[in-house]
Amino acid sequence: MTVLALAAEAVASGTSEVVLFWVFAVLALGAAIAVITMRNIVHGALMLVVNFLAIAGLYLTLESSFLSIIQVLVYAGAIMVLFLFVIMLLGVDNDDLLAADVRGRVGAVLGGALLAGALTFAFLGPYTGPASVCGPDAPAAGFGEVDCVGLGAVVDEDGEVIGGAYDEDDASGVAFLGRAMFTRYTYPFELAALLLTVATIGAVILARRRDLAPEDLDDADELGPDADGDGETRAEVGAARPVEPGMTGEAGDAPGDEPSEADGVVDVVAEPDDEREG
Amino acid sequence: METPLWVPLLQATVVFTYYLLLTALLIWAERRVVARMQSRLGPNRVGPFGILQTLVDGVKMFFKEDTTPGMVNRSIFTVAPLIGVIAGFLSIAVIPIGGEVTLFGETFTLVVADLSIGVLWVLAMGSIHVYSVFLGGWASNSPYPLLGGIRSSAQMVSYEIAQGLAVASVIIYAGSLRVSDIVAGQAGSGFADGVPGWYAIPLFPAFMVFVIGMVAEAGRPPFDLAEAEGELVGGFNTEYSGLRFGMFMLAEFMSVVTMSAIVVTLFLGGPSGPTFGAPEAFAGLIGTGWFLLKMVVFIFFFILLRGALPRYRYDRLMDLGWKVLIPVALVWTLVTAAFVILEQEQPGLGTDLRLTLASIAAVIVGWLLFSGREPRDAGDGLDRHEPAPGPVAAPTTDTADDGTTPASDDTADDRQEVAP
Repeated sequence: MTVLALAAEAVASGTSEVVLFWVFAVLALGAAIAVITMRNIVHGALMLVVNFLAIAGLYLTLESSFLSIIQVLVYAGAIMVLFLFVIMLLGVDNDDLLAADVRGRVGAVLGGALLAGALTFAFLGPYTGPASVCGPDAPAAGFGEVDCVGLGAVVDEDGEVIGGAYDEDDASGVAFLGRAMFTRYTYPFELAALLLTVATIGAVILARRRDLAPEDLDDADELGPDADGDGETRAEVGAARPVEPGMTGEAGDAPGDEPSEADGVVDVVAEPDDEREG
Repeated sequence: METPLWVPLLQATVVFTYYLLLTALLIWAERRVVARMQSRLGPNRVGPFGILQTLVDGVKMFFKEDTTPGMVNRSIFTVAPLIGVIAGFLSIAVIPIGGEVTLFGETFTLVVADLSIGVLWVLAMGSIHVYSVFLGGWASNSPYPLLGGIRSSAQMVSYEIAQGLAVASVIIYAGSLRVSDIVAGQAGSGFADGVPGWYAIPLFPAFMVFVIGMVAEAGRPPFDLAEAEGELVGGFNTEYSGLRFGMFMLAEFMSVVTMSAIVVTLFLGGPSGPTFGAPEAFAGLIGTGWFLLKMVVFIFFFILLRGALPRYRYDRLMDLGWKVLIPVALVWTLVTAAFVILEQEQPGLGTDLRLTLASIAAVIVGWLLFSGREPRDAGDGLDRHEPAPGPVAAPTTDTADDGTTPASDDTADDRQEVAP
């Protein structure tokens, strides 16, 4: 009972938010540092997952449960899985990654410092500092204005709140976010969607092999047309694989990609194709 | 009013025990039912009808030597099974297992947390679960587990999309992400008196997509390519033993139970059902009974699938996911959204009209899917090497790829093996 009472008290006084902020912030920063210091690339990628989860926690302390769960679902659950997928499929050697040349390192340090400086300036300066428009003492938004951050209230002429404010029925802010995204921010939203579509199509086109590489033709002689006995000729396997969805472009070309199936093609099958094209 | 501490504790304990017990019973039932289908007896020694077999198996698993092969990546190797079990248990936190219960003057629902983004929570935990299989396969540092892990993660990620879209149509139809709202929206009658208001009826294609997707998501036959014992020894868990292997098994079987719970909640009304005029205090318990009954139907469905179907081939699996399920789910999400908008713009749209629209939409979806699928090699956009017409036509090119018998060439797998 006491634990819960303490927790309730902490929530009421706002200390829990501070505590949680520090927990998640330290976790996020620690994981972020670990991402670039880990010698093993898969460990580094997993640390990135931890970082994403900690950021999701930070969103939670800001009472944006929707953003938080989307962070978990999209970044930790989908994007990082694909990252790891590619790392494992390509079998990236740790040495490749650690062997950056001096020029690259200097550039990285400079770029990183520049980015950090810009971010620090942006956050501490005009946006959140005491002198900024959106400082802690900034007045609440009136008609025609929008609060600097968050789901601030949008007010109409008479001072009535018409949207955006926290409301009980929409505690996670999903409806508000959806409305904003599909009305006020339609074009940015559509552009982002277009960008993703273009990237997907590009990946598919790049991964499509019209002709198989010569080294793929070599081991065809020793293997029969259907060496793996799955009823599918090797040509089909080889041709179908690169456009196989779910393993975006890079995956299809991976050398370690199920060597028993993907690497061979039969001369008999490949030749007619050549003739037809030539 | 302040809720006393024992209420959340009781909720958590009840839900946890409920799913753990169901998982244990599922393992036993599966072995019995599959044995029955194969003219065997199945476990029949421990307890009546061998019902305690899972318990003793669990004890055995617990005390067995847990070896860690030398070549593995130790930390990840240890963490991987834990991720699966934890994600499995977390995902059920938002699913109510019954109606409202009144106990010692406190009224509460049997659910751990009714989050405002409940449905997304389930999906998010499902996507975290992928890590378990994937990392388990990778950390083993051994070819078969790696292949198993890669297969299954590709499979899970693919089917997650279809499932997510199917869930999206439920969300759009219900107008809420909160699980309790979704359950409440399905209470009472639907189109006509006596027809339940389950979302499975207006959203039938999404329901089908979800059901197929959940079998793949749970990595169960006929989509259990992750472990494909005939090809990959044991798949991602080949190098595991003892308790950690047990955790993988627990996670797999539990995902059957949780997936059943989720599909029942999202599409079949969850704990809603006729209460036969029972007093208020018992209505919640009857709801629990309904929920259990619906879940058991799906669990049984999972078991029958395992006993009846041969394993899918991997490329067929991907074809099904990407070329059938995702388009269907996508189209149905749009159709649902259109219906919801129509309803908002023209309130009181007749039921007949809605039914007609739904049938037309269904026909269109069906036509889009199945027309032009016959000449499979020509229409599916793949760059297959077809034999050129003429004398050079290869003698041995296309044998089985006629698109009609999806799983026919994989029947030789050993399907006798049941549970560890």
